[in-house]
Amino acid sequence: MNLLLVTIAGGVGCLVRYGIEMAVRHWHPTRRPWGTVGANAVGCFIAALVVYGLASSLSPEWRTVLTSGFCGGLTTFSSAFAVPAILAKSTHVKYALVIVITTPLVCVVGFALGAAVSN
Amino acid sequence: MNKATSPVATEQLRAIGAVFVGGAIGTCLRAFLLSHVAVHSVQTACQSVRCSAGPWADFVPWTLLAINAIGVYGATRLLAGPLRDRGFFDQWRLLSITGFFGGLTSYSSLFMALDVMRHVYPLGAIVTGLTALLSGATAAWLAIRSVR
Repeated sequence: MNLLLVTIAGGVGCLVRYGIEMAVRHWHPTRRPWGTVGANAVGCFIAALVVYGLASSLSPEWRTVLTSGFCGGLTTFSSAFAVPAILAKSTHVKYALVIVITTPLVCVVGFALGAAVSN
Repeated sequence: MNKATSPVATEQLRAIGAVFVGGAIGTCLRAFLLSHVAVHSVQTACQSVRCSAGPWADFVPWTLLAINAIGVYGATRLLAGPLRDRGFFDQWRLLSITGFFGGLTSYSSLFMALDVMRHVYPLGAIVTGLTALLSGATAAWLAIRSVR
């Protein structure tokens, strides 16, 4: 039952990331994955909120559904490297490097913010 | 024609369905691997590493590191190969890259694992984080090379 909920939450998380990517592309048409970078930061922020802020009010099962499921689906490691690799292949090496370096930094900031807000 | 049944709306529904199904399958596979492989096979296989590296190796999310690296390799290989000329909104790209590999791999789970580790072994958390980034970059590079 828990795996089913995690699965559904993961699908919903992916949809939210897709929505963020759509919104970024609508606002600023680009092939660069800035929507993915933003989704990763938001996902890390929510994960920290759940771990630090909602840990006591949520059962372990629901915590897993939100962190492993929703936040896991919202964030992506594969696109954070695959899309820059394709960009680097098509001579946009600087952009690729900026994205690869920026993503973990904004994730750290997102996670730290989430923890700070919770405390 | 009713807006709800227009081709654009149908296309958007198919896109949403592709992302959801791919993401759900990827997340389910990750959750299954993390709850089963992490507990049994990987920790047993890493017994020798733990002995030589010390107890901090217990906190390293080995399975997640492997899943993330494999996910980067698979996604890059697809994007550089069969999906090379497909746009962002292509159904197969949404199903596989945005959905499946997006759900399979996770940045937040990595940060949660590193957060647990940094309370006990701060240096180990930094080394593990850098290793994760290096493994992702290496996997992408290997995938690009394999398609050439």
